[in-house]
Amino acid sequence: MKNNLMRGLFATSLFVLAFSLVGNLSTNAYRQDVNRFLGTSNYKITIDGEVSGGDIDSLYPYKSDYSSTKELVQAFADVGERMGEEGTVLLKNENNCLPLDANHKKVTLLGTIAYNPYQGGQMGSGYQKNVGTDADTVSFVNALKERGFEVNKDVQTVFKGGNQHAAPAASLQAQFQNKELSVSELDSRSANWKDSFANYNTAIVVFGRNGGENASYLPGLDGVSEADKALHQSDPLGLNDNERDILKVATDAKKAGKFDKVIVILNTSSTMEIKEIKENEDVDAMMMVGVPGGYGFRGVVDVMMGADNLSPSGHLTDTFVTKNSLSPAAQNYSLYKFTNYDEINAQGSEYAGKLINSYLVEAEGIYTGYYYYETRYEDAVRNRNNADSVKGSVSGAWKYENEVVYPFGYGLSYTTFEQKLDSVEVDLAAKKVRASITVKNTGSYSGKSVAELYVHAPYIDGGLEKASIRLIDFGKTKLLAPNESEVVNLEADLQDVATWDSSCDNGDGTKGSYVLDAGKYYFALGNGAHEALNNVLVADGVDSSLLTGSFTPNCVQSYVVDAKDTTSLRESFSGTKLENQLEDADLNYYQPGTVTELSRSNWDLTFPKTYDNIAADAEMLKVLKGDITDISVDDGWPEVKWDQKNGLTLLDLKDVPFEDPRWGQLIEQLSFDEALKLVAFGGVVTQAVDSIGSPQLLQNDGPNGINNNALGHNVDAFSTMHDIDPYYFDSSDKNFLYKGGCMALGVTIAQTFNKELSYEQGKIYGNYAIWAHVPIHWSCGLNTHRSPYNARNHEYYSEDGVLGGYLGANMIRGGREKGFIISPKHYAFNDTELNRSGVAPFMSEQKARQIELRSFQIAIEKGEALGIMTSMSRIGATPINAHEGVMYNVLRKEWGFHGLNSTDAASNKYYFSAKECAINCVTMTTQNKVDYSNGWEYFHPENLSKAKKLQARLQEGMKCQYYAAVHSNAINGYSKNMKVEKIMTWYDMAFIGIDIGAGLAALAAGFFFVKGVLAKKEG
Amino acid sequence: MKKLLASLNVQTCLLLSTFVFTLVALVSYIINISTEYFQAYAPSGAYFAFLILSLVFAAGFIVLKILKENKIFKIAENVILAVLPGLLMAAVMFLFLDRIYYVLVIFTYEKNETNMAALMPALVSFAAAALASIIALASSFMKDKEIGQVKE
Repeated sequence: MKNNLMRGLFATSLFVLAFSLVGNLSTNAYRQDVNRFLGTSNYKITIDGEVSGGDIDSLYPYKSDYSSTKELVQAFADVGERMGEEGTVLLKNENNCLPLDANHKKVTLLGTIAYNPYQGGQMGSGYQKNVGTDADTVSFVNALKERGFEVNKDVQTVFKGGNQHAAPAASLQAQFQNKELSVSELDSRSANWKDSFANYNTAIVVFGRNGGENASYLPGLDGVSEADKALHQSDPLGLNDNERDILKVATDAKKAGKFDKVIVILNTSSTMEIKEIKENEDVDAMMMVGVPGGYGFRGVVDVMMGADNLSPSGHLTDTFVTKNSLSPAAQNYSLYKFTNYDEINAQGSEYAGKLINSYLVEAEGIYTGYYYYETRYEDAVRNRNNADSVKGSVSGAWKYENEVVYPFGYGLSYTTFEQKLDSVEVDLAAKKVRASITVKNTGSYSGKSVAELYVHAPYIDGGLEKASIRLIDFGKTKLLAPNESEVVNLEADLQDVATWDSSCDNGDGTKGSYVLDAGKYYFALGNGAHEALNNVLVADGVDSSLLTGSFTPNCVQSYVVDAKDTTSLRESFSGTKLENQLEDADLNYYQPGTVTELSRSNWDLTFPKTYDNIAADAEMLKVLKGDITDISVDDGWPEVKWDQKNGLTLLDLKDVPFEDPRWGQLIEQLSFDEALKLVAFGGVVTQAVDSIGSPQLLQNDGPNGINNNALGHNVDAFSTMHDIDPYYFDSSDKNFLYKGGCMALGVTIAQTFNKELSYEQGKIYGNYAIWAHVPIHWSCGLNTHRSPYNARNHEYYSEDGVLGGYLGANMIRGGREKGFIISPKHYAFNDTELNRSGVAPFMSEQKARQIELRSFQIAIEKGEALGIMTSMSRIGATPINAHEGVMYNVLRKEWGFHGLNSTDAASNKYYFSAKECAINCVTMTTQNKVDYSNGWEYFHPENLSKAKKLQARLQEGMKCQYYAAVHSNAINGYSKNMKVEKIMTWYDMAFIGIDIGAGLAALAAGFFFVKGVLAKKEG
Repeated sequence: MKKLLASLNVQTCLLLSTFVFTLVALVSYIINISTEYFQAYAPSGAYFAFLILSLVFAAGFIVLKILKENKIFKIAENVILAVLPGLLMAAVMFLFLDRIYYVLVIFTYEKNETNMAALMPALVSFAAAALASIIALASSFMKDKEIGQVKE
C-alpha cells in the first residue's frame, strides 16, 4: 500500500483520537448541560423487592389531574386562552364598535405585527410553537379564522415577508429599528391592494414592540435609528410615519365608506406612546393585549366578538403616558459607566475582570409609574409644591391631562358595574386591612368586574415620601349576569398602607421601620388609580371642577390614626424585628450629598437630574470587588459537624416540619465538600446526593410557560421506573415533543387582575411538571417595572408591586399544590438589562422596600414560595448575592423564606463569589462547568476550616434546599429502599467506542506507516 | 529564498498555510487573553502547548524541506505530517473546552460591544486553528511531489 495513504490514515486516526479524547474531557466538564440538552442522566434508580399497587400510589404523592398527555396539553391551552380573554384591556370603544356583530366578521388586518404577532419574547421567554400535537398553538390570523372570521387575503399577501421589530440588544447605544413597511413599499408590491378593502368591512391595525432578555430600549431620540428619526419617530416606544401611514390607510378607507370600523390592537409589554391613536376620532376601538402566548389570541378574538356574552375584564398594569422619556425614572435610564472605568479595569488592576462597569442612580425614589403621575396630579390640583413646574412636562406647565393617556388599573367593559365600598376594618394587631365591596352588573352584558382597593395616606409637607394613591389589594368577581351582584371581600396587608421610615428610632439602637403617620387615611375604589384618587379628593372636599377625569360615589371609607404609630408594624409576619438593611444601597452612603431624590415637597427643585459622572471611590471599590468575607481568620462561630452517620434519608423527613431538629441531623450527614459542590455547581440539574438519599433535581426556565425542552424530553432519564410510573410515556405519544413555552407573558397575566386564574396557571404548570418530571421552575417575573424601556419588562408583571406580588403568590401556590417549585425571579433590582451583570443600581431603602422588593415579599409570605432566583445586578455597590441584608436578613429572617435560593447563571466567579453565596444561603449557583479555577480556588474544605459562619450558613442553605426538594414532585417514584446507581450514558459509550476504534486504527495504520517509512529508508 | 522556492510543492505550501493559520490562532488567543474581560481568567495552558508544538512541527517541516534531502530528514517529515493534524485537533478541542462557556455566557447574558470585541479574537483563534488542522490533515495524504523547480 502507498506510504502517503498509510500516513494519511495514521494521521486521521490520531486526529479522531485527539477529537474524541479531548471531546470527552469537554463533556465531562459540561456534563450537566450535555445531559440536560440530550435528556440523558448518569443515574439509575432501582428498588429492592416487589412494588405493589398500593405502593405505587404512595410512591407518586404528587398526582396529575389528567390521565393522559392529551388531556394535559388541552387543559394547558384552555388556561392560555383564558389568559388572553381576561388579559385583554379595552381602552377605547366608540360608536358601539365592539363587540363585533355577525355582520362584521370580514376583516382586513393591517400592520406587519398583525401577521407576525408577539407571542413570546426574545431568548429565555422565546415563543415555542406547537404543531401536530393535541393542542397546537395559533397565530392571530388563525385565531380569527377559527372563530369564523374571513381575513383579507390580498392584504395578507402584500404584508408577506414583513418582520417583527426586535428589542434592541442591551449594548451601548443600541437603537430600535422600526420594521413596519411603508405604504409606498406595499403599493410597489401591489398597486391595487387597497381595492380589496371593499369586500371587508372591518379594519384591525396591530402595533407592537417586542420584549427581550439582554435587550433594552433607550429613551427618546437616543434610542431611535437614523432611518426612523427621518420618519419622525421620537422614541422607540412611539410611532414612526410608516406606522402612522398604515393607520391612515385604515381611517381614510373608513371615511371613504369601505370600512365600518377601525380597531387598533397593541401587542406589547412596554407602554407605547399612543396618545395620537386615542385622540384619532376615526379609530373606533383600541385594545391592549400584552404578549398573549400561543393560545391567548383565541381569547382576544372572543373578547372582540363578545363570544358567549363575554365582556373584556382586563385592566392596565402600567400607566400609558404621552412621552415616556419625561418620567423621573427615564432621567436616569441609560448606560452610565463609572467615570474611572478605564482605570478600574486597566490591565493589572486588582479590580479588573470583576464586572465593575456601570451604575444607575434611581433618583426618582418611590415615584415610578402611577405613584409619580397621580401624586403630582393631586399636588397640581391642590396647587402646591410646584407640581405645575415645567420639569417633566410635555409643554408648558405640567398638567395631568397632557401627560397621562391611560392610567394604571384602567379598563373598559361592554357592560357597566356599580361598586360600593361597604366597609373597611383596620386590624392593627393582625396587621391587616379588611374591606367588603358590593359589585353589581348594571349593564346589559355579562361580565367580570375588578374591585381595586387603594389607599390615600396623609402627606405631611416635608415629611416621609408618600404616593397619593396606592393599590393595596384587588379581587375579581365571577361572571356576573346583568343585574347580578357579588360581595368581594379583600384582605390587604397594613404594610401597604404604611411607609418605610429609615430614620425611625426603634429604641434598641437600631433604626428603620414601617410607620403610620398621624392623620386621615382614605380607602377608595376606582376603575384605575386615577379614578380612585379622584374619589378620595372629592371625599376630602376638593372642588370637583378642578379634577381631570371621572369620579364615582360610594367608593370611599376613611380611618384616622391619632398619633404616629411606630410599633404596630415593628415586626414582620415571621416575628422578626425590622430595621434598616439597605442603607448602603443609597449612593449618598458612600458619597454624602451627591443624590437629591425626587420629593413631592418640591417637584421643581427635586426633579431628577441625570447622574452621569459618578466615579467609584475607594470605599465603594472595596465593596464593588465583591470579596467581602475574610475566610482566613477564625470567625468565632461554633464548630459545625459534617459527615455524621445519623441514619436519615430525605424521604424520612417528608412530613417533618422545618423547625424539627432532624433536618439539621440530615444535613450533617453531608460531607463539607459535598455541600460546597452543591453550592458551586448546583445549577441546571442538582446532582443526586447519596449521603442523604436525595434524587436529582431538574431545573427549568420559562417565564412564558415551561420552556427549555419538550414535554417528553426528560422522561426517559428522570422517570425512575418506567414500568410502574403513571406519568411515563414514550416518543410514540403525540405530545412527546409538545413544548410548554407558549403561554402568556407577565403583562398579559397581570392585566387579568385575576388571582384565581393565576392560581390555575400555577396548577396547570404543576400538572405539566409532573408529566415532564421537572420539579423546579425559574419563572414568575416579579421585578417591578421601573421604566418601560427595560425590554425585560415582558417577563415582569407591572409597575405596581402589590399587583405582581399577589398574582405571583397565587401562581406559586397553584404550583406547590402539585409539587412544582415555581421560583420568582430576579431577586432583585433588575431594573435594566444594560450591563445587567455588574450594574450597580443605587436607591433609597424606602424605594427598595416599597417598590422593588414588595412583590417578592408577597410571593414569599403569601405564596410560601420554596424557590427564588437572584438577579445579576448589584444593589448599591454590592454584588446582589453578597448582600447579607437582602439575601439573608430580609429574605430569610424578615420574610421567613425556607426554600432554595439560586443565582442566575454565574458568568464570572469573582463577581458571583461562591463564599458570599454560601454565607447568604444562596444554595444553588447555576454554574455549569465543574471548575474551581479563575476565582473559586479557595472553595475547598481545607481553606474554609476557620470560616464557621460560612459552614453554618451552608448547612442552613442546604436544609432549605432539601426542605424544598422533599415538598416537590422530585420525590415522585422514590422510596426508602431505592438505590441510586451511577451509569454511563449512550454518549459516554460512544466516546469509548470512538477511542477504542481510533486507537486500534492508529495502531494498525501506524504499524504499516512505520513499516513503509523504514522500508523506504532501507531501500 | 532560492532554496525555499526550490523546495516548494503542494505539501510544503499546505504546511506553510498550516504554519500561518496556527500563528494566527496563537496571536489571536494572546489578544483574547489580554482583553479586559478575559484577563481575569487563567489562559488555557494546554491550548498554548499544543499550538506551540504544532508551530514548531510545521516550521520544522519547512526547514527540513529547505535543507538538503537526507533519509533521516525524510523520516522526520513523515512523522510531522502524521502527527501534526492530531496536535492541532487537540488544540482546537482544548480551546473549545476553554472558551465555550464564555461564548455562551457572553451571547446569553453579557452581550455588549466590549465583551463581543473581547470574544472575537477567541473565535478567530478557533477558526484559524480548526482550518490549520484540516489543512494539515489534507497534507498528510499528499505525495511528496514538487510543483516547481528553480534553476541554479
